[in-house]
Amino acid sequence: MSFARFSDIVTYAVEKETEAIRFYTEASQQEQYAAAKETFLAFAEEEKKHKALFENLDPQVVANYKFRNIADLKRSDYMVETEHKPGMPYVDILRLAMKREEHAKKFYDDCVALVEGDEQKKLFQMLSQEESKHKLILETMYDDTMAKAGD
Amino acid sequence: MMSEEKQIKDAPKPKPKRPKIPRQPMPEQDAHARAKNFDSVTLGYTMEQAVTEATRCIQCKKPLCVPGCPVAIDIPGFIQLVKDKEFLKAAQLVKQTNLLPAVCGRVCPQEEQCEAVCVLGKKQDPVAIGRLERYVADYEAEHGEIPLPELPSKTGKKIAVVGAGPGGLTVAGDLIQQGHDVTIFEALHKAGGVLVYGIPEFRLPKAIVEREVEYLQRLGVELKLNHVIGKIRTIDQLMQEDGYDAVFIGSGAGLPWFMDIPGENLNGVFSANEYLTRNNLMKAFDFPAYDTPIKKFKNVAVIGGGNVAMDSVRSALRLGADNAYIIYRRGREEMPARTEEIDHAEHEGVKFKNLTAPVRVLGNDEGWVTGLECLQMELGEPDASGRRRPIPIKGSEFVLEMDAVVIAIGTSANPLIAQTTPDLALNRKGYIEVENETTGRTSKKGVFAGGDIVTGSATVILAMGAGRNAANAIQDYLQTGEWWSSNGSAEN
Repeated sequence: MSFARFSDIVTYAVEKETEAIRFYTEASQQEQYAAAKETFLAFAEEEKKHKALFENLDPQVVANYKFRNIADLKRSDYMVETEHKPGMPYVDILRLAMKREEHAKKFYDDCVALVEGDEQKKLFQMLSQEESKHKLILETMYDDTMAKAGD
Repeated sequence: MMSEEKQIKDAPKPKPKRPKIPRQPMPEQDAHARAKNFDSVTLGYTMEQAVTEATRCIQCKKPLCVPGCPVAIDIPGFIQLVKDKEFLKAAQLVKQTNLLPAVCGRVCPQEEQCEAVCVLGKKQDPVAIGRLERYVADYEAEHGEIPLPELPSKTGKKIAVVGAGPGGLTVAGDLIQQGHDVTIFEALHKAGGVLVYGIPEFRLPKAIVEREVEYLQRLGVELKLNHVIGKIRTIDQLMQEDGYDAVFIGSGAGLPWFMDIPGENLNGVFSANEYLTRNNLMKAFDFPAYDTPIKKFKNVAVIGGGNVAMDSVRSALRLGADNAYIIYRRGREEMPARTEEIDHAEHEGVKFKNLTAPVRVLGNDEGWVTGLECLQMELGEPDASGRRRPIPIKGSEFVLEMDAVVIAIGTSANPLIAQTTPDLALNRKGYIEVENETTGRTSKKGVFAGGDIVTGSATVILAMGAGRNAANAIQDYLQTGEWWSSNGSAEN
């Protein structure tokens, strides 16, 4: 895997989003209940938005991209790995999705240190921030649910 | 112009102020002594205290406390009877709307319901409605039973109630009094649901629950214990083969959540459900009189800040722990547990580690817990909702020596009934979807649901309120045969 060119990184990021869309769509198909299906499909829709954003990336978009501080609740960071099991409870679905965003963010963070050019670095930082936003949304949903239950 | 003297003479005389009577404190076992036994923590009012407290009620013409109660007890009415020392009549009045007054008097969060809206509470402490409710229920238990109500002639309709928790018991009590045949199917070997497996003896003596269940049986409710619906019979079988005209599902939310952190599978890690069930339902605290062992742990960490966590940690102390900790990731003010329970735990010697999150359970070569690695948390910046969420402080890891960890961070619905009833719609969180909480109608004709299986873990009285609503809707359904389709129109 080479990230020498700007377009290499964009292609990779789009592929990762495509994989995420496929993962959530297949998980949805494996669920018996409409509500769980809808939850997974909603996640797939979010990934589609990312995919569309990444497909249209060019150096100018990245150059104008505004970075801001995205809070990291780190709810998933200390959890063990998990996998999709049809019928898994809602909180486990959230944990699964949070963990996926955590890995994606960490991957892009690691890549920042691996590439040389400023343009490539900024692109990876942008991808990391986009994953951070998703992670925060999911971790907030999870934290709200858990807070109510006494966690 | 009137002289100053005249003005003073004609001014209305101020009414003599009735001396403010302070809210009567609840007598309790000494904190040090009770931390070592499973006897009731609170001892109940004396008659004198009950009457004194009752005189504090100002008998509002439009009382707010009644709509503040999920089952709408005639609160001013029964309190007046306490004031008049008509305790049995008071109990009778309460029982007209609340089947389990001795239970609710002990475990309901009155401070969030009826007492929260008591007018007296604006300037002083509200009337101790819960304590008075408990007093009249206990008085009735001690001094004579309320005669059974006269039941109407049989309707020939059969109702199945799945789960003998507070919601199911309420439905059964209401519908048996409408002349229907009611059968409760309970998965465990005792009726009461969370009242018997979840709430410890020191907060709710089990004899009280047994008495209330016996009352229902005397009314004619049939109780089938050890009946796991979804395994022994399905909902469809109950309706199509066993002839039940309607089913109420009140099976609770008994599937515990874990933290998904490393080490959670070590020996000495319990879900609060298991820990409390061993102790409360299976009486492990009374081993060997009861044949359920429970290891005596020296250092016990209970994760969570709800009532279940408080019950677990206080049980750990009573089972002989030298140190019993609450480990909670947020601040004390965010704990969902009742203030009274938190205070009791503190007075008994429970150690609180707030803003602390467990990240790993440590163990030895034999697979037993030896410690709990935690992180110190701090509150982050307010988010869009204004909430300051806890976030870990980098490098703040520390280890607490432990030999048991009890996880009390919530539960979800047991999926058994849903898995065996494919046409029962569930919501996003896996709970049974109902038309609304005032009817409890599910997506399946003739099937109703209420309590934790609909709302997720909540309070006893809310489950009872849902049971009351569902019972009314079942009665309506049995009389009219009308059902509601998902688009809101009636169908037959």
